[in-house]
Amino acid sequence: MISTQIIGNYKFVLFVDDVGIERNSVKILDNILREANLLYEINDGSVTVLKQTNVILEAISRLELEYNEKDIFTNIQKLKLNENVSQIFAWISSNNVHSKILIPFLEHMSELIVTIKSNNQLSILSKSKSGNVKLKEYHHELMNNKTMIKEIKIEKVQEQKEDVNVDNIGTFKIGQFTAEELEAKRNLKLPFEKINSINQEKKEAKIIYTPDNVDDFDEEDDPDNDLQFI
Amino acid sequence: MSSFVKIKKENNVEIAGVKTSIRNWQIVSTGSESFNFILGGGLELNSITLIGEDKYGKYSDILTKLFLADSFHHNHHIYFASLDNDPKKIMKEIPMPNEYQKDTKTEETISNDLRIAFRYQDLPKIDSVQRGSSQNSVTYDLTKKYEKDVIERYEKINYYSFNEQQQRGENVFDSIIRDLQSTLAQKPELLRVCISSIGSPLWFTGESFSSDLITFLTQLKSITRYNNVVCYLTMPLHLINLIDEQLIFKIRRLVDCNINLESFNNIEKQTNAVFKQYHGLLHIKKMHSIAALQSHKPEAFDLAFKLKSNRFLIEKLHLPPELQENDSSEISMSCSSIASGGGNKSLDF
Repeated sequence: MISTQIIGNYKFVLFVDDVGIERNSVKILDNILREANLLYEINDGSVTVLKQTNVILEAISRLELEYNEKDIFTNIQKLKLNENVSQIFAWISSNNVHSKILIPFLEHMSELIVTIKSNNQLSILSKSKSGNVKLKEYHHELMNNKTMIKEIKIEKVQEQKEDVNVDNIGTFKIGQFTAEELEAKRNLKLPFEKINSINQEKKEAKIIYTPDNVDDFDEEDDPDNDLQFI
Repeated sequence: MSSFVKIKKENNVEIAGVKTSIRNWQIVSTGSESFNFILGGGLELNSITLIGEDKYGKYSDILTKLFLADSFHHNHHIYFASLDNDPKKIMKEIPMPNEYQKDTKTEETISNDLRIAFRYQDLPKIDSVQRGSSQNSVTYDLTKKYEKDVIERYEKINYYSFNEQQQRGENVFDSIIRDLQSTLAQKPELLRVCISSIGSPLWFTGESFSSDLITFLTQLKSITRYNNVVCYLTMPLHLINLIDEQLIFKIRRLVDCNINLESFNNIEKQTNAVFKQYHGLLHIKKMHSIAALQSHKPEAFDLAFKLKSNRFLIEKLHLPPELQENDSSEISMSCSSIASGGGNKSLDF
């Protein structure tokens, strides 16, 4: 039922009607509130509310004829701050308003926005106090005075991803080794790898020199012979 | 006996919470370490900073609270104006500072199971969070709040709320300027002005809104320049765009620093899979440079922000590695899908 989604902590609920069913707006809102057993009074925003109640604003396109935008916003804010008001419901038809800024500005002020997109589809955007925003799509039949709504679950079109078989990708093996291959892999000494200190060779630097056949130790011509050092 | 006379900087007054930096003269912290780093240390004294709000205002709210927390912590005079929400209520929710922690940055070296060259083994993991090397600034923990009466007892704060505006009945902009002038008449050490959500429906004054706003910003700028004031404004730019497309450019000329937030909501359009780890993007539109010819140039311009439970972090935008060939339905960068050679799955070397 649509009332379960709408009635709650949302102080200002805005109905944005893209279809053009404004003349049924009061009836629709009346149905919804009656279903939830809630009292309401119709207000044009300028009268102070003295007892605990919900307020249905006159259709915004009609308010627009009487007040300017600034006054509409101010009046709505005053209703919002009024502790006697539990919830405010407003209806705005996009094809009936003249001002370009009314709909986006009112959407900014509202905590819950019901956008009636077509004769059978609507969406509900709810802003929580912590700043999280949720958008859900529903099927509706508000035109036929039915207040049941059914959620449309948007299925993400997931094309079948062919499971990439890792083994067959390339010309070398990535996974799946035999035990011997694993052992060989682990023992392979990589070029710049840090060698563990346990296995480290002795710290002295040794120069290992194996002379070729052609190399000869030439005793006579050794120029360092006469140097006296040990 | 030399006749050398040392020149003293007489106008360099030491104010708590204000640092002197080489480039920016005197800077004030924003409350968030990352944000300070991007701005080159913090907000410049005598400057106006404009934050373009994200669509539902969640993250700009947090930045505002951090700014207020820093002002409160350093005992600065605060002027907080907000028509949309009750400023007193917001003030009660400001975060407390973290207890002073020594440099506990854990350097995660790459784990020893990985066999890599010795040169790279001891390097710390790449940390793309934007932060300075000195950890001297105070950071705030978003989960910790002050007790109610601590803030109520704070005297050096002036509020301007919707109710106040209704009582006075005059133009919003005029009353704010008047308030600021009277607050400054008491000569506070440092006044931090925070005005939230200018341009939201309640600020709308009708047809003259654009010119009123420009006049207001000009007056604010002159007040800010000639007194010890730091201004922090936030505006829902997507709404201002609807009033007048050219207005945002005029506004940008008048403020000193403009940074826009763009949050990912996953509602209107499917968030690019690439941005999974971030909460939104940060766009630097204008950088302050009051005391120098050149503005601070941040290390990277592709910045993204992330809100952790207790901190607000700004990071250099990293694209995750492209490991698998993605179908074109999953939105990926167009150049990579071309480069993967569409369809040919075997890696041939």
